[in-house]
Amino acid sequence: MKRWFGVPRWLVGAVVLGVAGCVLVFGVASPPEPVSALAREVVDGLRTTSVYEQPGGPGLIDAQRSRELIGDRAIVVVLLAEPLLDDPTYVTDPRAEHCAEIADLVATSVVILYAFDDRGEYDAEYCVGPEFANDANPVDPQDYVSGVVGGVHLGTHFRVTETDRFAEVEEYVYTFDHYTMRDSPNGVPRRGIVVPPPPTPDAPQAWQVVLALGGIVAGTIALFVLVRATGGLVARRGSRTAAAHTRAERINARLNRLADTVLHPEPPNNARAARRQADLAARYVALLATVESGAPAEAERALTELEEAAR
Amino acid sequence: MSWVWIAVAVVVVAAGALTPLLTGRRQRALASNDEAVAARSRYHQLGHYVEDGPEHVTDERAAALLRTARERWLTAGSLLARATTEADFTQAEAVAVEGLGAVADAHVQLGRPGPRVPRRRDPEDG
Repeated sequence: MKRWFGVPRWLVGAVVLGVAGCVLVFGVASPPEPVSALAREVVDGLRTTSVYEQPGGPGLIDAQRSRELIGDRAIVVVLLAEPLLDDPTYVTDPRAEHCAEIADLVATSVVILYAFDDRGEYDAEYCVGPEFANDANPVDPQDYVSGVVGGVHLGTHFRVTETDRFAEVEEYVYTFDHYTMRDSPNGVPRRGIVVPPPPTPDAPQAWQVVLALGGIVAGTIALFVLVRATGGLVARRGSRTAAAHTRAERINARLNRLADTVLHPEPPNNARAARRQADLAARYVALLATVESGAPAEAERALTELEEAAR
Repeated sequence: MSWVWIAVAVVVVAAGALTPLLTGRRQRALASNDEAVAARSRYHQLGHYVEDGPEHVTDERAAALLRTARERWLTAGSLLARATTEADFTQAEAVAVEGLGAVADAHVQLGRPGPRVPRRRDPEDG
């Protein structure tokens, strides 16, 4: 068997292939970004409607009126009840982080997110999906964040109250129409189908995947070794059976030779020689009984003694 | 469907594990072929001298040797009929060679040319 570094070549090849596969799977391919549970919940709620309202919210925005107003425009409104707390990993404020995460999942729409922050203020964040501006809708996404928001603030200054801020949504929709009618040759863009994000493993799940892969590999190796050992056991048993058969045949061949000597003795010259021949015949019969008893070692020993006596 | 793939994977792994064993057995079987040819050759050579040998031998010593050769011939035939391994065929060849030795001694006793006896192979040597 040809070897490299003292190891069989096929084993080296298998290890190289395995390492290359691991590098390709885990090194080159970038894993999908994990999606938070809140974003999943929101996107699931936006599959059939343009407004998702989390239960227990302050009710400052009338969700039903917002739905009727938005229609099938490429706008989604998210009304959260739980406060969005700051996190050291956030680059911007929590509201903007969550808005961007949701916008990534409703890629062809703009998102209006209402939520409390950690100071208890209920306010809106506006963001644009990464595919909102496209060949069919060649607009400047920045208009729908800073530009629209400016219009919203101006138009709602005297219309919102502490208990009703629906006017903000209303003004946003009107300004949205203004910008899209101005810039987009195809008119107001319509909301696309919302597809739930694929499940992505978090850190513990990634370890579970690694463990599962390790288990698959270990199981395959165990199965291989088990089958190989079983096959080897069967083969060894066959070899032992063949060896026992050969040993029995060898004893039979020696018995035949001895039978020829015992059955065809030379004519005895005297009584002593005759007694010796009779004794040989008796021992041969006893030897046959030993052979029949199935003790080959004892039979071989007795056979050797008798062969020496017959010479 | 996944069970089908699992079953296919198990079959592939099992085949990979058993292939060396099966090919090894086949190689061993092919290796014993040479022994079988040699044993059958000696058996037929002995048979020629036993069946077509001298009749009505008056020399008691030569007659005994020819009787021994016949016994070895019958024994070798019995061994060949049941031989499956290299060791079995080697054993049968050794018995046939013993018979040829007896034939050779008988022919020397009778003053006739006999078979050339090959060096006796001890079955213990393989």
